[in-house]
Amino acid sequence: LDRAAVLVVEDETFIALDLALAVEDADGEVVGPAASVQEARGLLEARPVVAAILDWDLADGDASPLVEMLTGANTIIILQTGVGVPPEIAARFPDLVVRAKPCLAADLVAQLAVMIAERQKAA
Amino acid sequence: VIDIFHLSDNDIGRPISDFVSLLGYDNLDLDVKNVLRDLTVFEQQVTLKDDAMVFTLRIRPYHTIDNVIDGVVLTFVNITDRYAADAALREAAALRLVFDSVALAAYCVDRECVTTACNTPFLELLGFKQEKDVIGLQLHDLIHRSHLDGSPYPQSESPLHQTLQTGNPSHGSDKVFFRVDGTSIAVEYWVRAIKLGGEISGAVCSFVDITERQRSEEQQGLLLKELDHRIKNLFAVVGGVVTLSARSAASTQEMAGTIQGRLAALASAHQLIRVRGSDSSGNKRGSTLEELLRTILAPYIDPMKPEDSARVVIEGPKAPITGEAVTSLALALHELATNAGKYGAFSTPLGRVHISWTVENGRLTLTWKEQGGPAIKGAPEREGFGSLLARRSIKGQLGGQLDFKWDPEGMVARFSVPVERLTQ
Repeated sequence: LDRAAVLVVEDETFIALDLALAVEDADGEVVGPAASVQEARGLLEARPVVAAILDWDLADGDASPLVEMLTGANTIIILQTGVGVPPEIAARFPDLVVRAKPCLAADLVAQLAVMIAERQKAA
Repeated sequence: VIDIFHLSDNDIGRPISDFVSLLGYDNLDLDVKNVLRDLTVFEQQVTLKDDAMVFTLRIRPYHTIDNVIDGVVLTFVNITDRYAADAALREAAALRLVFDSVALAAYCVDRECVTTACNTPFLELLGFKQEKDVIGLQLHDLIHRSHLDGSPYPQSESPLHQTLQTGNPSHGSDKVFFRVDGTSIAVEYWVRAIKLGGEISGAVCSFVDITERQRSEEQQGLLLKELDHRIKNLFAVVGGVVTLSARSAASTQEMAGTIQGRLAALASAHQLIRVRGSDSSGNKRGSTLEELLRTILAPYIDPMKPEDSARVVIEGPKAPITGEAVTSLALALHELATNAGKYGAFSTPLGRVHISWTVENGRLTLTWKEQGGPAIKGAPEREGFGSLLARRSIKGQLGGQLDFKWDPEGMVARFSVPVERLTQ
């Protein structure tokens, strides 16, 4: 990940820490993990991120405000969900990468690294 | 009488009991004797043996001109027609009773969809006062005026109307009926044509209120979805537990033990909350902080060892916890207990843990104070993984803060969380 800043938002403690450590293993810089939309907003105000791994179902509601905010800032996003994303969100953000839980943290991070590399190549 | 008793003029003077009659009635002799003894009039309904005719038989004493009792007079009044009419009436009344006693609401219409009858459940379900209020009316505009979404529902499209046209029965559960007060009920209905002599003379529609059934089906669907979500989530959490436990374990044995312990904590949390909303009365199932503590700490207190009863002191006001909060607290407390077992108060026979909490200004503040364990030289150089997990659990879903103090006589952990987060 080349020291890229990656926001991790996940309210399940074990999954959050697993993801955070997987990002560190891949030489990324973890921002978070945040458990709620509110907490993630606070972290994003403090510093920009290159990519984000988001859980859909969070302690204070769904992740749609974060998806909107991060898409606006051109951030690379992988969304993890156990419930599936409502059709209107899928329609609004057609390029959103959605992974169904459970998925291996290392796999998610590897996919994120590929997405970041593709983005850099395109630029 | 000649026909009934096969009598002829020659038989005058012979006892009545000598004759075999067509009557299905064997007590004539005795009843006559009774009348002669009591001098009362006796009356009895009798039928012929082949049931072809029904009579009222009257036996009365026969008075001569001198007012002397000289026998009895038997009169037979043919009531066959009246009897048949009475029977039909009784049958109709019995059927009406059945009609009103069944659980289904039902009403009948003629060929023009005009109501001809309805039963008591129909009146009760739709809020009409009496049958008179609906007889002679075309009810469609009243109880079927529109679909549930408000779109128009012409009478020609109604199953009742169609059955009247085709004679075919109809059944469904896709309709709503409107009550007199304007509210609607979802119904399952059955429509059948009434045919007299091969001609459709009307139809009967019976129905039941399925509002409650639909509600519980909906509830069941939601519950299944919730369960599905939880199971997927659980697999994800277990995956996290495995990779995280592998990171800090020095051996496979240690890893297995750590995973088992964490899964056991998750299982106890599940045991205490079960599936949210699964209570039959709709209450959220929950637990209390004390109950959770006793469950999590049970492995450290051997009930067979009296000295163990002093190992843990738990004191604090009743604090309900429900839902996700139970899981987060269970994990945090499990990690604290595991650390105490490895390095702290639970690692020596005389170590004790004093757990107390207060609820003030909307926050619950809990103190976990260890004593009697190995002497503490100071804060550890590197935060252990268990402590990190505990801190994340308190911060993550509970929005609280967990701090450690490393007193020489034992570690003190303290966290404070908003009370409303404990019952989310």
